[in-house]
Amino acid sequence: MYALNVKESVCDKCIGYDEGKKLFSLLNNLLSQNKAIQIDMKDVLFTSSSFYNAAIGELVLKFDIEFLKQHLLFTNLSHRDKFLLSKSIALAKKVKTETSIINNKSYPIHT
Amino acid sequence: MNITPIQLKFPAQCELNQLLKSDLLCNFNNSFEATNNLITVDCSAIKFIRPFGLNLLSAILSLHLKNNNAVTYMPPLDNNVTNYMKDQGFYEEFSIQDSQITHSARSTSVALKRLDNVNGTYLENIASWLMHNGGIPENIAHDLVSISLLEVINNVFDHSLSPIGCYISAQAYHRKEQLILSILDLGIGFYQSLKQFYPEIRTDVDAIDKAVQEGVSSKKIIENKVRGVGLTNISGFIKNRGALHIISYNGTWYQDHSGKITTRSINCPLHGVCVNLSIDTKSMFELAEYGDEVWGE
Repeated sequence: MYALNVKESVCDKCIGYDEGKKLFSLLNNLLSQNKAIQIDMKDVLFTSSSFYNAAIGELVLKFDIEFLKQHLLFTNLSHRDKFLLSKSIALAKKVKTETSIINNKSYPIHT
Repeated sequence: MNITPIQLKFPAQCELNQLLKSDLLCNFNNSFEATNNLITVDCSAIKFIRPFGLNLLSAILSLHLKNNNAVTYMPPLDNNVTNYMKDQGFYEEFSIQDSQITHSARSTSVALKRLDNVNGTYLENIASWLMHNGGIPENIAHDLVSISLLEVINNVFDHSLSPIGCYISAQAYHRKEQLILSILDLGIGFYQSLKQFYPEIRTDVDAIDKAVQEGVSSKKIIENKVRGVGLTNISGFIKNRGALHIISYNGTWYQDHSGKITTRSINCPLHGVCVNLSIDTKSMFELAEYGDEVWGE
C-alpha cells in the first residue's frame, strides 16, 4: 500500500480548493495505476469542505465508489475531518447521480 | 465644480440589529459609487460597538479610500469606545495616529483584519485566540475555525467579487459565555450570484435560504464540480451551539440556538454579505456524534 502523508505532500493547512486539487492529482495518478493508498492526515491543522470536495468529491465523480473504498484508507482523521469528508462524499454521490440521470435521459424526436 | 460632502454618521449603539434599522446603511448605499468626493465618517456618537459594527465601519472606510475619496474620520467622544477600537487594531489598520490613546491588544478580542485571500497564518492566530481566550480546547478551536470561519472566508473569495475582500473581527463575552465571530464583504451577494442558475429565486431572502441548502453553488453548475456544502455545514454545526445570522442585501436569515429559522426583509440593503456567528462556549464539544462513517452513507 502506498503511504501518502498529506502534511508533507500537500501542506498542513488544507484550507481550500487549490490544496484539494493538489491532493486529487496525486490520488488520481496513483488510482489510475490501480494502487491502494493510505492517506495520512496526521498534523494537518485545518481542513475545509472545499478541500474535501476538490480532493475526494471529484474522485467520487470519476471512480466507482466501491473501487475507492477498496483503494483508499484514511488514517488520523479527526471527527471534524470525518464530518467534512462524509458531507463531501455524500454531495459528490448526489451530483454523480444527477449527472447520470441527465446524461441518460432520452428525448423524443418530433418530426 | 462644486462637491457636496457626504456625511455617514454611526448611531450610538453599533450592534447588528440596531445598525440594520439605522439610516447609516441607506446613506452608505447612496455614497457607494462616490469617487473623488469628500466623505466624513462620524463616529462621535458611538457608545457601544460590536464586531459587526467595527467591520462595517472598516468596510466603509476601506471602500471610500479605495475609490479615491478624501475621508475624514471623527472618533467616538466616548474614550472607552475609542480605546476599545484602538485595542481591536482599528487605528493600526487605517494608520490613524492618536498619541492620546494607549494601545494594548485585548485578550477578549481578535484583532480586526482585512483579508484579500484565505490566510492560513491568520486562521492559526484565531484558533490560538479561541484556545487561550475563549477557553476552548485545541481540537475544538480547530473545528470551529475549519467548519465555520474558513467556510465563510472561502465563500467570500469564491463568489463575492468584493472590492475590499472581507473584514473579520471577533469578541469573547466571558460573562455570557459567548463568542461572536463576524465576517463582512461588500460583494455581489447571494441573489446576484445564484439567480441565473436558480430561476425560482425571487428575493434576497430566497437567495440566502437557497445558499444554505446542500449542493447549492454557482460554481457547481458552471464547472460541474462538487461544491456547495460550506454554509450547510455551518448551519448544522452551529445548531444547539449558538446562533447564525446571515444578511445579504435586503434579506436577513437567522437561525437560533434550537435551529429555528426566521427570515425577513430589511429596507436598506447591506451591499454584500455579513455572516455573524454567536457561539455558546459552554456548548462547544467535539463532533463525536457525527460517527465514524466517511463514505457519505
